[in-house]
Amino acid sequence: MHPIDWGIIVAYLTWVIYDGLKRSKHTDGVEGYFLAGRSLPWWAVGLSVMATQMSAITLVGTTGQGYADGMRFVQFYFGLPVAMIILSVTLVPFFYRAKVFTAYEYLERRFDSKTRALAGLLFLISRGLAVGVVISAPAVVLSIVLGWNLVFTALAIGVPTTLYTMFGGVQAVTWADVKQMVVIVGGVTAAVCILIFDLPDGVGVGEALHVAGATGRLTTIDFSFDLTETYTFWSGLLGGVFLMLGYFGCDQSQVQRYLTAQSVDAGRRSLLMSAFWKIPLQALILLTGVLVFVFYLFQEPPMLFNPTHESEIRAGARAAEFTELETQFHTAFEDRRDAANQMITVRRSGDAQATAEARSRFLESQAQVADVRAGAVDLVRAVSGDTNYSDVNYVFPTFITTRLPIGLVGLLIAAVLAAAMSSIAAELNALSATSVMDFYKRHLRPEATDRHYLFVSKVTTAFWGVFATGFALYAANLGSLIEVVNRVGSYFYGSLLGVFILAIAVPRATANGAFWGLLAGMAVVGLVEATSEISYIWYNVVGAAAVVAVGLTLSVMRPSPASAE
Amino acid sequence: MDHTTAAAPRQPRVIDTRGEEPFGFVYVAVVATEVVVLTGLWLFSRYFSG
Repeated sequence: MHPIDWGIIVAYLTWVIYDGLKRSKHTDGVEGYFLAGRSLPWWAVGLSVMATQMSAITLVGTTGQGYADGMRFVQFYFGLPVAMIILSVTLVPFFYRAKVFTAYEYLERRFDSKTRALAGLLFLISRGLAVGVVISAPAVVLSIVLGWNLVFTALAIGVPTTLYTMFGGVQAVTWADVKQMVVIVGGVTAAVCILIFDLPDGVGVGEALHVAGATGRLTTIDFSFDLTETYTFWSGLLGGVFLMLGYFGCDQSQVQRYLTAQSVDAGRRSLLMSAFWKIPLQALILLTGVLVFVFYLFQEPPMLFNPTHESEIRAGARAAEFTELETQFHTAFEDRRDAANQMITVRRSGDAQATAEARSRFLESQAQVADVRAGAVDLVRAVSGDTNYSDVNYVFPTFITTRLPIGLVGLLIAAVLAAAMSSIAAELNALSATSVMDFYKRHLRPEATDRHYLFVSKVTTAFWGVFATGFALYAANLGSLIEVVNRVGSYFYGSLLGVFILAIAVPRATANGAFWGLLAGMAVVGLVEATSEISYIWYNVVGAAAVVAVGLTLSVMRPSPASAE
Repeated sequence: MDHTTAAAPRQPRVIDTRGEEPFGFVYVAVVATEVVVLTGLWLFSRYFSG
């Protein structure tokens, strides 16, 4: 990598750490440390909400999905705007007026301490592991693509993030998120511009998109109703509403964002910013992946973007087979490039018959390229024994490091780091808040001074930073990373959502009903996953419904003394 | 230690639209924007995939 690109990355990291440390001057109490004294403007909180949701997994994995599979993943977010409206009239005013530090704190006021402890523990387990995955995803990809040491890369992400989160608290997290969103959006926009400018002479954007569209990559909406499919209109709109309600309403890493806002209205506005912008932004990121696909129609890509096992294969018994596949890939690429050019030329003539034939030839050549790539993936898996091998997450980083001009490489790598750090920081801050407020202060030292809790909060943030970075080094090969994180969340979010539905909407619900309902909800989700092919996006619906059903049944069977009277 | 305080009522209102200013128009705008965005994505898909 060029020294200028290194300079940009170092400048970015220095800027984030310096500003974070500067913010520590304003966090002289635990309310300031975790909630910024409820003083932050809505737009900063709104950008923080978006930055927290958009991890490096989103940036790297989603562009890879755009390249390999197209834009249908955008449907995953269709339920988000509706969920944000529901939260704006339910949980946001409720949490804000309750003056809680954590979402789980309310569960003790409404039910009992064991329900609060269980919910807090579930959050600590799921989010503690997830933040490790959030660090490992970009660390693994960047270490391979850039040739960096994996431990160094994980530390380069984990240490600065832990430092500024530990010293600066939520103020540092939020204002770093604001800068990081600027870097992310700026980086993606720059990549899109370069991809458009780099189209071959005489090939327009519309013509290139028609070629991509022929492969189905621009299909954004699938109206089929299939519970086993994650990316359909109905899965996104119905299943997605429950997923987003659980994530934004019950996950402390998001609840804590809007608790820092100046007022209930500011909290609402901060969430509604995502309601307006999330789908267009996600579509832009997916389109970037599609444009990378278009770019590689005319410029020969590597046969496999993830070179992890390449040297092993070239030195092994099946090296000749791999070389033969490379030759086939080169031939297939040239044939596809010619077919793409022919399709574009013929489309201009307006001859429908010739256009259909050219399109058919292009699709055949595209299938040939895909076959050779699939053969290469099978070979890698067979030789290495790595059955999870995939190169989807390596597409965009490879494009960045090999095709972008000096300066932009540094900016885009900084954008990937920014996406990772923004999520990690918010999650560390939330893990610390839950550890301290729901466990340490509640069960171990209830009467200590504010200064003491502030000190413990910083130590806890450091602990979670070290834990997450350490776990990241073990979470290197977990398959499709973006789905792993969503799957982990889906086990808990729906059930947690069910408990909050019981708490707020069901006056008869009792503490025992909520506690056992929560456990039953997770058991039902586990059962559904083990015995059915239902997509994980529906687990949240299943979990929430199971908790409400079991909790309500138990509450009716054994009502609390107060409600029985 | 009893952490039950008077800060939050035991049974809050489920729908709470109270605030400094009305948000009804904003919610309608969110829904309208989603309809426009999804329609745009569908038309985009139809135009380039056809």
